[in-house]
Amino acid sequence: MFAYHLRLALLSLRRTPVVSLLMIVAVGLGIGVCMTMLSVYALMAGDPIPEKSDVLYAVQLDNWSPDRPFGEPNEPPRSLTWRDSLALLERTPAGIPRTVTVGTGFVVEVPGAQDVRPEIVTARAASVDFFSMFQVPFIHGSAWSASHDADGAPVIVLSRALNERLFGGEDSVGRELRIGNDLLRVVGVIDHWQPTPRFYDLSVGAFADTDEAFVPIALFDRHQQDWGGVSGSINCWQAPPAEGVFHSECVFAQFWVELPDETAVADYRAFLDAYVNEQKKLGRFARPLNNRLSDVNTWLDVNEVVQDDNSVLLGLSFMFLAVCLLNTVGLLLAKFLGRAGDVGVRRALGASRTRVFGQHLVEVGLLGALGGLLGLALAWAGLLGVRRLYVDYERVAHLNAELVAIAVGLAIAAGLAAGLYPAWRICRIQPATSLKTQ
Amino acid sequence: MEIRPILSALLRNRTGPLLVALQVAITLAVLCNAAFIVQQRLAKMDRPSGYDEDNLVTLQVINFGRLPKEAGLAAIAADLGALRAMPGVVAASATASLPMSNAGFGWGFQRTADANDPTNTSASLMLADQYGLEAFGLQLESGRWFTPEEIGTAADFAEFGATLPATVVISRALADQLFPDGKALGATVYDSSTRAPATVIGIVERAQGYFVNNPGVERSAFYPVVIASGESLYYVIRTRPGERAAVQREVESALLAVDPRRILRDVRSFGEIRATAYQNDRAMTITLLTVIALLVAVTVLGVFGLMSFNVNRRRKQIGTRRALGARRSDVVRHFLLEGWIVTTAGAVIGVALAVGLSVWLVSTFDLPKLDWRYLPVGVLALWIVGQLAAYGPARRAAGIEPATATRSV
Repeated sequence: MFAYHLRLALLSLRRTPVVSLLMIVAVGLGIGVCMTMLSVYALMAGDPIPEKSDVLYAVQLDNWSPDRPFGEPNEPPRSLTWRDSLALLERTPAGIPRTVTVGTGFVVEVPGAQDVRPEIVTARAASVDFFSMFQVPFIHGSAWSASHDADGAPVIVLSRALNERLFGGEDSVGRELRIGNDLLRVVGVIDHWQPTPRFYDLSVGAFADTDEAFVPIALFDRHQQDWGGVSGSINCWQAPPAEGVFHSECVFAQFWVELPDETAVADYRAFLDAYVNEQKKLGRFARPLNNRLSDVNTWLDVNEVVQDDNSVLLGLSFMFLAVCLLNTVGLLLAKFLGRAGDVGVRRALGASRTRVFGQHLVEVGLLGALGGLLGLALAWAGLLGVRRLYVDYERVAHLNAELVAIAVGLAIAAGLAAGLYPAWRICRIQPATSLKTQ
Repeated sequence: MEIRPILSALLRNRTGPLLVALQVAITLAVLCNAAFIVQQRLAKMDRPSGYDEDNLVTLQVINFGRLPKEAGLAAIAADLGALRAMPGVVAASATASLPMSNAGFGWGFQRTADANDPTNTSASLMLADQYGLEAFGLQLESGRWFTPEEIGTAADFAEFGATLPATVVISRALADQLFPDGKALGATVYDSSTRAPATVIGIVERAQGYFVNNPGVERSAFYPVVIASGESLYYVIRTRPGERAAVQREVESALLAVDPRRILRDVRSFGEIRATAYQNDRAMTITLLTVIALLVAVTVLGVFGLMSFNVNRRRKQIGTRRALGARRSDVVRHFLLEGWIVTTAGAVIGVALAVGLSVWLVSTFDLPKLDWRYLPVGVLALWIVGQLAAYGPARRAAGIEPATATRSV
């Protein structure tokens, strides 16, 4: 019976090609626009590390000016001073994974390689737990040993892409790189790794590329003067002293801890409060206690990763879909009622109401499916356009399997929503009346 | 004219017209709000920056490691000399950051040395040498720019922070904010963290700061300092009109000829900086305009479809009216009026919907309130496209022969 209905539906589409095409285009446009906005939105609002997003916490301490808060009404800064980061790194109770991380950049050279040009890499100073906490995958070697966080051994971890550029992609563990006047030994190469949004450091853009190289925190600290310094935003409420921002109240470092449950969170809060209270005695932290612990998704909210523009566009695109569907309902109604005569004959010949209803629903479903296909193509083109419009959205504006599934679901739901009423109207037709008017 | 029969015809088959009216309503709501947002973004992108944008080339210099103070200053002087020697170059200057680049120093200035001075005002702080005025193409409104003797040097940012200069040039917007009485020139302003004083020696008409999305973007200040370390070093090059592209092409080789052991990055025209700065606004504008265009197109199709359907269904009645003496123009007018009634009904709901949408946007996203003038303009626009959409079917209706009335379908 379904095959028969499908044949009838195809016949019907061919009999009114213009109206059918208009309906497919209307559904397609609606789905296409909606899917484009939804894809961007979904990836922006997505969870970058779903397995651990509820156990990883970003730490905020309020060391800001006694005269005014960092942000209204009473927001603490979104990063930490260097000295607090190092203190927390050292004093966080044993057993709690913790990491301090800050963006940097430097020029690397491969000693003795004539054909490899020196290049500037975006790098990251981190303490060793960074790799395990954020589930960074390694292809060669491993992270540096925990002792290197403190002793500042000259070691470096490369990204897959940088390893390919510098060493042609071979296992470069043990090879050496020159940065300034220092030689660093490669201890590991990580595989492609791109959490989106890049939650672990949002200060240079939530959709920035992950870093190309990683160095231990103590090594970076030792070279704060002669390497590239901090890349990312440095916020100060008072001018840094002559020794520089690393010895100031300026904030620029990210600090993360991994806390398995509520008790651990409460304990860690107490630990932070104790730390700040102790610092207060030393004349720092003039503001009232205002420490924050935010899990990954809260952290993304605090940093307003999803921009208002995207939410507005998503809302408007659903209104657009509504217009497209209303349009389709109107066209379907006109088309079905124009065929009342045929339906009257079918009914008079013994087709039940359910049958007629089913027949039209199949036709509607076919329109919805075709519209959905068109919509997918349009969404693909739309995302191409989005990628051209926003340079930073290179990674955000893509269709994935989940989104395609949503698109198909949306198309079918849209088709049914548009088709139910017209199909119901047409199956209610009295055979006698429509035959009489013939 | 014959409103009654049209109304009764519409009311007999309510669903179709109701659907189209709803489409018109949503379209009006989206149209007004989207057009309002577009207009605001266009106005924002249209603000002048104060720089001679058409003729500027900028780039960043990254040295391999940090240079000692004297060597760093010598290297910068050599580079600027080489840049000035290039054909087509009017001026070249060294600075530590680029305006409108979304990165740079936010700085506080105030009128007194008090800790809690309420005049504390944030501004974008830029560092400039004696060539800055000419290289950026700024318009000096009053006072003067820095003399070569005034240009301070610092080994690095830390030294700069510890020894702030004694003179400053500020933008008109910052002058107005700090000195509402208009007596900024010659006055003393204080850096709000170290409370170091500086004399305002000049006021530039306009010099937009680093963050174009910040409402304080017009407030900026220039300190006469060159940083030697190369931690953050940019060159700004102003060319003669029409020679920017050529200079942009040649600039890298000219600088690498001075010293090849470094990396030159982001050789850009100011147009590219502007495009990046306003990328989100431009994207929002284009996206909204696309949505508006598609939306109006779909709605026009809706009106067109409804009117065509009505015309087809009433062929016999139209023939009868013609046979009873109605002119073709009467038939056209009938259907245009019918289309107009549907559009207007939709517009009435739409005005309410547009206001509701605006309230939601204002409360959820802090957008400014919809300017009410967008409503009548939106209604007018929909009336026009609605009538255009109805005109085709109406013309077809007028072509129906009176004889149709006597033929059975």
